[in-house]
Parts: sequence; structure tokens; C-alpha cells
Amino acid sequence: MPADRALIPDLLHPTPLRRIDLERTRLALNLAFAGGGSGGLFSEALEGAILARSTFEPQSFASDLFLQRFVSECLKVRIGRHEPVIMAQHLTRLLAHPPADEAIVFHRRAILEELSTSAQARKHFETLYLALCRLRAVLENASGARNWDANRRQLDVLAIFKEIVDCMRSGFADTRSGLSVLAEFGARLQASEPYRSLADLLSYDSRLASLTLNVSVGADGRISGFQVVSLQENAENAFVNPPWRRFLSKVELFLRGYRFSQDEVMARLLDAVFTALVDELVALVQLAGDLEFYLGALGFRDRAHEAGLAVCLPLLVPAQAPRALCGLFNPLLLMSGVKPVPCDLRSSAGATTTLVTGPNSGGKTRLLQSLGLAQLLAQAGLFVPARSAELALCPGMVVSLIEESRADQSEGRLGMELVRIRALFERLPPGAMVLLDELCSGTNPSEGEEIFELVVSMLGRLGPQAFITTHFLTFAARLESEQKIPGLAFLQVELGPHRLPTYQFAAGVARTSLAAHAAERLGVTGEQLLSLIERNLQLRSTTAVVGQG
Amino acid sequence: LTLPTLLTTKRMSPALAARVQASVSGQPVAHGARLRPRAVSLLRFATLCMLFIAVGGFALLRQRELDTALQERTVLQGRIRRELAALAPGDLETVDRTRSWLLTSAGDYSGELIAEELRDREKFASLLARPTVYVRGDLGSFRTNDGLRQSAAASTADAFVHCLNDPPPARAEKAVLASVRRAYAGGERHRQATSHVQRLHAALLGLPLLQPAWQAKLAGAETELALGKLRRELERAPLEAARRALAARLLLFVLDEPADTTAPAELDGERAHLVRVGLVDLATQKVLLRWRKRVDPSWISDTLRAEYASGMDSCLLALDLREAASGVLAASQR
Repeated sequence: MPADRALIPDLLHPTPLRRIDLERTRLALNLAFAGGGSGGLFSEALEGAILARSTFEPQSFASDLFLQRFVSECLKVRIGRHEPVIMAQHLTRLLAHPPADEAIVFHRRAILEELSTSAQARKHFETLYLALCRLRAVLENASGARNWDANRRQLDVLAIFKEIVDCMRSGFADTRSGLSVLAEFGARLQASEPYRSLADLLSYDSRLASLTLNVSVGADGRISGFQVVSLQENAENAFVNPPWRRFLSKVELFLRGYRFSQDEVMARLLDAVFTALVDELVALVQLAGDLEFYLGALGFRDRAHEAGLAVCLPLLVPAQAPRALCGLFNPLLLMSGVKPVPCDLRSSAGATTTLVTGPNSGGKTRLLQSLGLAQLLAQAGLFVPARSAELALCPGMVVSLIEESRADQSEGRLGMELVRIRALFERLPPGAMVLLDELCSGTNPSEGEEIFELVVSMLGRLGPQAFITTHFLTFAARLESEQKIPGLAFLQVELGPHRLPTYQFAAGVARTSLAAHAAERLGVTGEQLLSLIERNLQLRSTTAVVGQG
Repeated sequence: LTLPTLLTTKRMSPALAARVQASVSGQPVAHGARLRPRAVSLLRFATLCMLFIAVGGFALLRQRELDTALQERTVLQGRIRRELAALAPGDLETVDRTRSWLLTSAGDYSGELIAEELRDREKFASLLARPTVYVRGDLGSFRTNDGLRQSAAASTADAFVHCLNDPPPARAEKAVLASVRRAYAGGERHRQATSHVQRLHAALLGLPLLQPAWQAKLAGAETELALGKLRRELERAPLEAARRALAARLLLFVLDEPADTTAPAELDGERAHLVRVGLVDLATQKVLLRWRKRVDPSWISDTLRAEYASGMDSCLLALDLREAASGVLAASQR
């Protein structure tokens, strides 16, 4: 539900939303504050958070793009020597549900841009996140160690909370983007009674009184004595009571059914202060997820830079405008330890179906992954894995890169292929992005080509931005020469010297899939197979002679 | 009903104070507690109230006891003070002096001595009329404190004292018997004759209570029990008699020397033996009389001897003493 900017520090939406369940999170926080050890409080609250309206259906693309792996490996947060464990499930949900409202995308881009251009803002942002991590650790009892002093732990929680509020107020006062909501939130809290009570309680805990001593040091350097010069109680503090009243307070608590101890007095005061702050803590749980969203993106940018690659916030163009991606790379390859080869892609019009042909292991599937992730990141308002990009936001995405056989599948390979095509058209909204790998590869070429042509011609009616790889080279060449289907474009894998793929893409249709090259590389030539057969026969005869002997 | 808490201060904002109040008012307390918090609270409150009542009651009772003790002590101390005020300086030393004289007299007999002032009948009478402390016992008993105490306890204003102060008109058996019977009966005449004679036993019993040590014990007694014990000691002690004994000016004693145990004794234990009689002026520490005489109940008729041998011998001894002092006896013996 929309709320006042100063009430909820929402960094993901221009109109702040309370996205996590207030009652449930408040209860969890109360329990965590009282007893500690409420493991998973933050991640559970965020996993159940509502998200801005999205037209994307994650089941249509998330698994084919390895989205979860991308989040956990590419969006790592690294601050100095700290590498906090991010709440990957929440980030995956955020990426899989890009907002339908463009204003949200621009809001996020503005924040990310300010964080990437202002070192000061990023530093405060990271400081704030680390404080939130500490708050999370002490609330969830990340170490699992038994805490013998409950009051001390609760005081730690409150001290970190105050540190967070102070950081928000002072660190983001000069920000221009949506980050300013942090300063507004901090300012509102600092002006409130619960914050003053919190500050007083922490001061009461750390400085009940001041003792001035005169210390005498002997000739041998040892302390030979001391004298109390003055003793002054912090009488201005709202929590300070005279000693007799402190004693009677303990008696009172005992009569009320509590324990007779100073700890019990402090516990009551802590409870009174925390009660007024628990709703603000709920807001911080949500904020922790927001911070990870941006820090993950910044971490992705840092790692790409370390590998000599560039990322950017894409220029968002209208749906009819041509798209361009310069220096596009596959981030999953980067995280696997392989340095990807960036490529450039351009399309002449918005709604284009591009057939990609080329040799096996030429990078066609990796290209489709890169395109899908770039589109998804752009939709979420984050950096895309390209040096520069002009992209249009689209209403949905259908990706089919992996077709694994399953033991329980009811159809044969062709049947499964047809089911796949049917599902594609069921999910596909107009203007969506479509990424299909090796369409109709499960049947004989002549019949497969007919279905292929049908699909391509039908896709054109939905005006998608489609990329389809195929090894039906003759068929693709025919379509290119006939020019019967409007909006159809062709890309082929570029071959370098020795007919090896360069992982660049040029217009046109490839003339060969270079299956023989692949077979040779993988040891499937006639000579290689014959030598294997001879070796097996020789091994068998040797075994027989030993058996007779 | 919400009781205000002492945890709040005037400097707290109303909102914070309200939260502190709420925190102490309605939270469950001990982990694993079997009772509801309010029940625990009531139980503890009741226990504390009972504790306060018990302590208060005890303190009240103790204070009352101390007040009572103070009153009683004051009464007892007043009594002691009055008794002491009635004594002359040096009277408290009477017992010590008496003991010393008796110890001396129980030793070897130093010979007869009768002071001049006893020679005259009138002076004799007026001298004997002065306040006198009297004791009689076996010679050996006066050599130890216990023996002295036993003899003092057994000594009364007997036939000797009676006949010394109110002698029978004649030495005849009948006259002596009449005096002895008066002494035994303790009638008015006997009291008049012996009213100035006090028992040493009374002085021995009363003196400790008039000493500083007993007064210190009294001053230190704080409990009713201790004071009651002291009060009973005081009540049992013949203080008035003791005061009179201590104020005595003369010491009159009779020491019975060992008798011949081979001879038969009378029914009352009387048998022939030597008796020492002494009279000392306690104020001047002067011996007025040192006299020795053999008594023998054989002169008494058989019918009376069984019952009155001792008394009649004592009475006759007193008559002999009177006569010896006036010279009659000496002349007749000569």
C-alpha cells in the first residue's frame, strides 16, 4: 500500500510501498528481540513481500536463463573485505518480476546512476548496508552462540538501530535521486519521541554517572593510590533515578512478579523503548532487501570492470525503434571463469524475428542467454552486460533454450517440440521478447521446416522481438532469398581463419554447421572410432589367453 | 487497577512513561512459572506484608518487653538503693569482720577475758541491748566458709540468747525450763527479749544482693526472664533482716567444742562438752568477752533431759555467763 515517503524508506518505487507483512514481521521482530535466534527473519519476510505489478511470467524464462544462478553469482555484494550473504531468493523474485510501470524503472535507474557516479553516496550506502547486516546478525543470532546477557544483546540491537538512523539522516541529506527518502526517514525518526527515548536509554546505559579520580603513581610506575574528586550523576537523563528509588524500583518489580534485580529494571526500560520502535524496524527489514538490489548491481559492474568488460544503463527507446547492443557479453560465462568475447548486435526495426545460424559451439545459445539477461536487467532498471545499449521495454519474455528429456514425458521428441510451440503461443503477449534455441530439431528436416515456417510467420502477427537459432541452413537460406515473411532478419556466426568461430555475428545465413569440425574436436572421426574398436578387440583376446593359461 | 511505577521519572515524556507503565503492568515474568503473574504478584505482596507484620510485631513486643524490663529494673534498683541508704558506712564489711573473728576464735583458746564494762550489771544489760548479730555452731565449722554458712543457717535466737537477755529468776530446773519453753515457743516475750539480736545467716543471704556485682547484673538484665530471676532472688533474700544484721554493733557467738563421743548423747544430741562464748564490739574491733565453760546435761532430771537437754544447758550457760561477768560465779567457784 502507498505510504508517506518519510514513513517507509522504499528505494524500489517512486511511491513508497510497505511490501512486507507488517504484523507477521513485527511479531517475528518482537520474538527475535526478546529471545534472539529467529533465524531467517529477514529473508522470510522478504520472500513473502509483495512486488510491483509485472506482466512477466517467471516460469516462461527464469530457469532457461539460469536466473537464480545469475543472481547468486553475478549480483554478489562486496564491500571492502566484507562479502555479506545476500538474500538471493528475494533478488531473484525482483528480477523475475520486472515492473510494468516505466516510472519505477526510471526511479531505480536514477538511484543506480547516482550510486555509480557519487563515491560519497555509495560509501554511505555501503555503510548503511553493513550496519543493517549487523542488525540482522544480532537479531537472527547468526553465530548461533547462546547469549547469556539478554539485556546486552537488546542494547546492541538498539545501538545499531540508532547508528542506522543517524547514518540515513547524515549520509543521504545531499542526494538527488530516490536515495533522499533515506534522509527523510532518518530526519523524521530523529525528531520523534521514540528516538529521543532510545538515545537517552543508550546514554543511561553507557554513562549513568561520571567519576573524577586523582591517581597517584609511585616512583616505580605503579599506581599507589587514588582519590575520588567528584561523583556526578547524569541527572538530565530521563531514565536516571536517585539510588533509593532505583532500589525501590527493584522491590516494586519483585512485588509485581518479576525478579529482584537491576537487569529486570533495564529489561522493562528496554521493552518500553523497543515497543515504540518496532514498526520502524519492520521498515528496515524491507530496506535491507532494497539495498541488496542496488549493491548487487554495483557488484556486478565492479566484477565486469575487473575482467575488462563494461556494463551500462541502457538507453530505453520506443518499441518501434531499432535496438543496438555494443559489447554484449554473457555474464554467466564471466562468473564461470571464462572471459567472454563481447559482440555487437543491431536490429533495423523494433519488431523483428531474427534467425541465427552458425556452427555448433559457435555461441548461438550463449547469445540468446545474453540477450535475455540484458533485457531482464534493463526491465528491472539495472546495468546490462553491454558497453552501450539501446533497448525497448517489452511486456513479457518467453525463453526456450533447454529441452531435457524427462522420464515421465507423455510424448516423443516431436510431440514435445509441438507442446513447446503450443506453450509459446499460449504465453506470448504482443511485443514480447522470444528466445528459441534450435526450433523443430526433433524431427526430420523436411517436416520440421514446415512447422518452423509456420511458427515464424505466426510470430510476426504478435510483433515480437524474437531470436531463433536453427541448423536448417538450407531452409533459412530459402527464407532469406524469398523474403516472403516480413520483419525477418538473419544472423550468422562469423568464422575466422581456419574456419573457427569468432563469436561475432554478421548478417546472413551460415553455409555450414561445421559438424565435421565439432566431430573431430570431440573425437568422432572415422579413424578415431576405428582405433577405439581395434583397441577393444585386442583387450578381449588378451583376456581370453590369460584365462586359458 | 494500575499502580503507578517507580521506574518512570518526571523527565520522561508522557508517551515513554506510559510505555514503561505498560511494560511493568502486564507482562508475564519468570520462565516456566506455574502461576499467573498476578497471582505471583499477590503472593509476594502478601508474603511481604506478613513479613512486615511479623517483624513489626516482634519489634513492638521487644520494645514492650524492654519498657517493662526498664520499669522492673528501676523498681528493683530503687529497693536496693533504699536498703543501702539505711546502712552506715562500713556496715557492708560486717560479714567479713565476723568471719575473721570467728576464724580466730575457732583456733586455740586464748584464755578468759571479760571487759570491764560487762562487770557492771546495768552496763552489761545496756551493752547486750545493742544491735547484735548472733551465731552458734561447732568449733570446726567456723574454719571454712561452707561450715560457717551451715552453722549460720542453723543458728537462731535460741535459749542461750533468750536467757542471756531475759534470764530466769533462779537456777532451779523449773525456772530454767520455763525460760527454755518461752524460747522454744517464740512468743511475744521472747521476741521482745531478742528483737535486737539478728541471725548471721540473714546477713550472709542479703549481702550479695547489696554488692556492686549484683547491681551490675541487674543493670545488664534486659529480658523479662533475666529480670524475673533477679527479682525472685531479691524477694527470697531477707533484706530487711540482712540490713539489721549488717548494722549490728556486737558479734555474739557460741562455739561448741568437740564432745566426748564415747559418752552417750541425749535425744536432742546434747552431751557434756566445752563451750566458748565470745562477744566482740564490731565498731571498735574490741573483744568484750572471751569465756569458756563446760556444759553437762546430767543435772537435768530424767524426765526433762530427753526433750530439753540442749536448751536447758544453753539457758544455764547464759545464766553462768551473766554471773561470771558480775563476779558471782567466780566467787562461788572460788
